[in-house]
Amino acid sequence: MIIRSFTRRSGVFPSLAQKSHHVPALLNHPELEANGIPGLFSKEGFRIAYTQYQKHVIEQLNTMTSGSKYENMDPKSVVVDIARDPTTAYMFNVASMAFNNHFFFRGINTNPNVQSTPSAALQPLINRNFSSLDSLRETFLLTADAMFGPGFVWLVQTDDASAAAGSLRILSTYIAGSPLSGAHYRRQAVDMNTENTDSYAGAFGASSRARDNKAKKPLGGVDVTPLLCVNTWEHVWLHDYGIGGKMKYLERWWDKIDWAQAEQFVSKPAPRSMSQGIHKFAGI
Amino acid sequence: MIIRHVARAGRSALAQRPAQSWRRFLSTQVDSIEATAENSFKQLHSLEAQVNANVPLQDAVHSLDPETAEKDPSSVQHTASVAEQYYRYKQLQAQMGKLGSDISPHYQPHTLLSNPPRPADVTLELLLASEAHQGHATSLWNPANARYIQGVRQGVHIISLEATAAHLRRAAKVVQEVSKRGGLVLFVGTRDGQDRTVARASQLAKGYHLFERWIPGSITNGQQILGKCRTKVVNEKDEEIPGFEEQLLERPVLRPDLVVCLNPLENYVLLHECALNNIPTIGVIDTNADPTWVTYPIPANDDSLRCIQVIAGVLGRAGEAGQKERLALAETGRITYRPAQNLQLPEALQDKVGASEEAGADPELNGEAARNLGRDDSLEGTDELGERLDAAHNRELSDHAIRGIK
Repeated sequence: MIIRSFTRRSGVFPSLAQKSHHVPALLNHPELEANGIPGLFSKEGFRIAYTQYQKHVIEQLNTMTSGSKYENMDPKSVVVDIARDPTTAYMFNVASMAFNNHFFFRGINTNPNVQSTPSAALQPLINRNFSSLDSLRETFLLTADAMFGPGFVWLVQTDDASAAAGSLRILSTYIAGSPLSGAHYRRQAVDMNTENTDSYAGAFGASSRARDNKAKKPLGGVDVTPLLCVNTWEHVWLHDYGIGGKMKYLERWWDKIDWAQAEQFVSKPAPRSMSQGIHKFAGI
Repeated sequence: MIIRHVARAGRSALAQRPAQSWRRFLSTQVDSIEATAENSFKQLHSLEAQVNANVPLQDAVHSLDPETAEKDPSSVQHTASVAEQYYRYKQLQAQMGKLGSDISPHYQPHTLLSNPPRPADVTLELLLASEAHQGHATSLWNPANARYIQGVRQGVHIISLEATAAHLRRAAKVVQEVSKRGGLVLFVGTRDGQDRTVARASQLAKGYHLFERWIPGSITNGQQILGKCRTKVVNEKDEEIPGFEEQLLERPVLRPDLVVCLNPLENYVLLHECALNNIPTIGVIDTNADPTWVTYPIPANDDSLRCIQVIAGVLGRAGEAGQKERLALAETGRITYRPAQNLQLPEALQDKVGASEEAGADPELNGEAARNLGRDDSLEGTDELGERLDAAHNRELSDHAIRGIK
């Protein structure tokens, strides 16, 4: 009787429960397991950064979600659903880390024979927003280096219908913050240790920084799309680059970005007859 | 600079007296001021647009004047419509929705309706997971079901899943072949929650469904109860042919050629009417149900909605396959059924058919059909069989009469 009540509590005997989440395989996963990512991670470094960490985070996600309504939900849906609830903070953290880490590794070009550069469609967008690829690189890497503590730095596209296509921005998320639209409550874009939490000055009103984000979007609408990210958690680069090797790691990572993957998420400028696409989608 | 001053003055002037602008049109002096004012507005806006294009959003210049907003909406910041936002959300969901982890296959209840399993997908594991093996308490059983029962566990009878699978496969074949031959299949499920199931199954099989109470006499007294229902004449490709309305009024009411009942225990009257009229029936028979009520029993759990959805889904898919075969044969010109007798072509179509028959186009009612009947092997000998059965029955009666058996 006692044993039965023990097993009903999810997470006490995780091996007995059927696991719903598994570590996703990357492109050429066996090769990466054997050799790491040439130019970025060694074999052991890759194992720590992806295999072991993703496994850990997914196991935690299984433990937290088993038996609840989030059991078979993909991490992205979980993140958006529970971002506002402080009682599920840990579940949010593990789901967000699973999503962010996978996003990071998906955005890396693992083919040593390919030199990835932004395509002809993406280059003007970068030039318009950052004046050149080099200045984007400089801004991005310095932002990442300046962040103290773990986190991610993202290149995002904002939903900006007044321009030809949405503009690009750099967004940093501390610890397990999420750039996703529905989870803005836990974006964690700012280091709270340096913010004055006792004062609300500048947080709201006509002159506040958030003024240009005031355009209303419907529930579920997407105003920020992540394109690529870098994982600045220490365990990712510590094994291969040492304690002071963060900048070197960032520079190496920049050369291994898969720009084609990033371009997939870019929203193309809406054609004149957007309604045609809408009607086709809605089946009218 | 001068123009800008004039423009500012002009703007306020226009704002105050817009109705009198037509009067100003007559005066050349004021006209020229207005024209220059408008030109300068356009210049300002084009400069603005040029500046905005090359500068990041936070430094962009936006005109805040509501007047100009009406004239030139592109300069005002606009958010995408709800439809556009949703479209973008769906796009991104397809691309990055699955990131983070791989989720192992699991039971999703809605898929039994949106994508039901096919007869080939039926496995013992699926039936077990759908609780098809759960019978009733042993004291409530009908001994006629003994052959379908595997054993007893925790005081309930367990239905043998091999028997379930075999009978389900047979029933699926029946539904498929009836559909292939253009028969009317009726799916009946009158319990709570079975409405969507029967509707979906009949949609796949292009048949008919019933989830409210069966009106007694709908077959035996069909002319009275269903006489006012609309009927239609369709060709071999299921296209309705108009012009038969008057003839249809005189025709007898239709009956199903096959009835699939998901809860026979509550539908005795329906099944009895079918039996009286030689309509074959398929039914889900639990351990407490009577298997003789239906022609093709499927021993399974009728109390589990998941089990019912699996069975109805499989039968619906079988009907879908049969319909597909029938229509494919119709495309080649072969009809798999005996068409309706004694229908006269309306005058409107007679000329058309006359012209097309010369060209050798698709077959019409009685002429081609008679030739097709000759080719259709499945219909061969059915009248003969009927005659032989009658002869045997008569012999039996006379034999009994001779021997004095009543």
